[in-house]
Amino acid sequence: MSLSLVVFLLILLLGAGVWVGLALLGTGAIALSIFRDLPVIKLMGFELWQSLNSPELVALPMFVLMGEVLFHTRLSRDLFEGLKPWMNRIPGGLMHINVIGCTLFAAVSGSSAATTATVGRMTLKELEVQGYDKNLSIGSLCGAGTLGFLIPPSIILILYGVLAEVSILDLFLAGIIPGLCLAFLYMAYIGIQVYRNPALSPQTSTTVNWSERFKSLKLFLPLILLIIAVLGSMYVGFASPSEAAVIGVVGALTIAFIQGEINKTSMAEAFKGTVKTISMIGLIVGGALFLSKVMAYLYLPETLGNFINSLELSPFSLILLLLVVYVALGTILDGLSLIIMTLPITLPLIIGAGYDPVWFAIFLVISVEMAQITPPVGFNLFVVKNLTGEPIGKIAKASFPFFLILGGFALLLALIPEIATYLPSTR
Amino acid sequence: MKNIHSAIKTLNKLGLWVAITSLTLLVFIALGEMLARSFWGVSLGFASEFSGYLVAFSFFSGSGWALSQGGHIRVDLLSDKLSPKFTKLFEIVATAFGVVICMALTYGLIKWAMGTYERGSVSYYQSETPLWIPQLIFSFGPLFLTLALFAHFLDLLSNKEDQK
Repeated sequence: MSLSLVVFLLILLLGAGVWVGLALLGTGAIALSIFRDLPVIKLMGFELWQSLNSPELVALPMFVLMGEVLFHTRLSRDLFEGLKPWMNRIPGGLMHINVIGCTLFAAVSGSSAATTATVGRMTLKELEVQGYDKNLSIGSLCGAGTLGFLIPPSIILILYGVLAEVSILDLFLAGIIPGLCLAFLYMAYIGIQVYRNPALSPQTSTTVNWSERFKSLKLFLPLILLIIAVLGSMYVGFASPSEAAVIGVVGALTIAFIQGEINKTSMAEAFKGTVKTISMIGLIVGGALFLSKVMAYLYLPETLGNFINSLELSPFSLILLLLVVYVALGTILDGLSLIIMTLPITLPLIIGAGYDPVWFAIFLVISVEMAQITPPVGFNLFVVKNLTGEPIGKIAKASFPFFLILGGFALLLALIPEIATYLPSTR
Repeated sequence: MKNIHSAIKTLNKLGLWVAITSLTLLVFIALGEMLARSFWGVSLGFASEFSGYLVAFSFFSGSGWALSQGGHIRVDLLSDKLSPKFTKLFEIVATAFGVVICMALTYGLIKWAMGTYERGSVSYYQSETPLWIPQLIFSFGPLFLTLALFAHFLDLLSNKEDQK
């Protein structure tokens, strides 16, 4: 009864267009008022303060700030120009910059939407002008943009670490190999498509010599150094994830200073952009955490957990079920709220089935990434819609092959968990 | 009406600056902590405690300003398909609901802060900060969001075009 009401209220409020964070808070407050005799309003204030007053969360706004500062530098333009000379011999040519650009930018950005927007801003127009197939370039951007949540730093992995009480550094390390594998699979798909149908890519006649290629390296050297500083400082134990994020902010400011892009306007814009993003995240995280507490008061995790246990699924069937459920729920909910609300239900089930919580984080991110490129609520689709003006349906269709690659990889990850757990085990 | 909008806009800008200041202080505290640890082998006693407060302020203080910039996300499934008249009706209902829930949250936070003040609760860190102070500052965030939603509600009722 209480579960049906929670689901009904959530769909009703979200469907009516209530802001996501407020819909989550409202659903929790109404459900609690009906089923439990508790001081709901006071509890709402207390839970919000308790959940957001957390030093472990410092990494989150800091990584957003780092991304915003970099967004106001020439970094994405330099990345495009720097990668260009390396791509002329590969089938698919410059289209691969979508994937490599997103992979590299994901390593300094915590969000898929920011990665997609930053890289897409530079690549989509240029690829169209050069005569690349629009569908494949849009699809590859949507697919590769999803790497933003997987390759560290990642906002979702930070929150998962705080909620599941798992080392954020382990989670960051666990995301690296799956992220690189997916990037490779995306590039292989682009290469195969262009090999089978050369009309998807312009016939390039430009020749680039090795000296030009090596000269171009200096264009993305700052980004590589920044990645090494952020991830390296954590890996060697010099900095905690929060401190590494601050190192990233300082590094990004240094790049902006060297490029002569640091001024009052750009810094004000970077800080305003950060406040805009983290306010959105803060409201959603606060709302989702409150609703997850309400669900605990109503014993919903136990009820649902017992129900799923009663199905007596094998561990692999459980994973399949969760993959389907997460992708389905992700079509109407954003990834952050989805993970925060469902984690109290799914994490005990997964641990009970013998899976590693670090592995589950990566599996969860990939499931949510699939939802990120699934209509009607797929954030990467919205970002690309804003960049291109193309209808969501067309963008979703172009992204579908990449959706399948993600799904296939999620299953591969279930069969070979070491893809995610190997790097954390080396620490 | 114009005065109400202007006052709310000013408060939202104040919230934005509280958030920006919190972010800046977070950077300095983390840098200070790293330097102190690396060079003198000591930890700044207040770093963890104050980082917690500042991260909470940075998440919520600019919430009202973010709303005015279209920063908070929502599902636009129905509004994309309905007639403008029904879209507006849904918008009014959704905003009114937002005002109520945000007002309740603000009231809950202020009540919690007052309770903390009455109990004389202090933090368990060495600073023994009276907890009602950060709790009260934090409650300004939802308050500013309530006011921004209220301003949006007034815009909708008065048919103002620049709806966010």
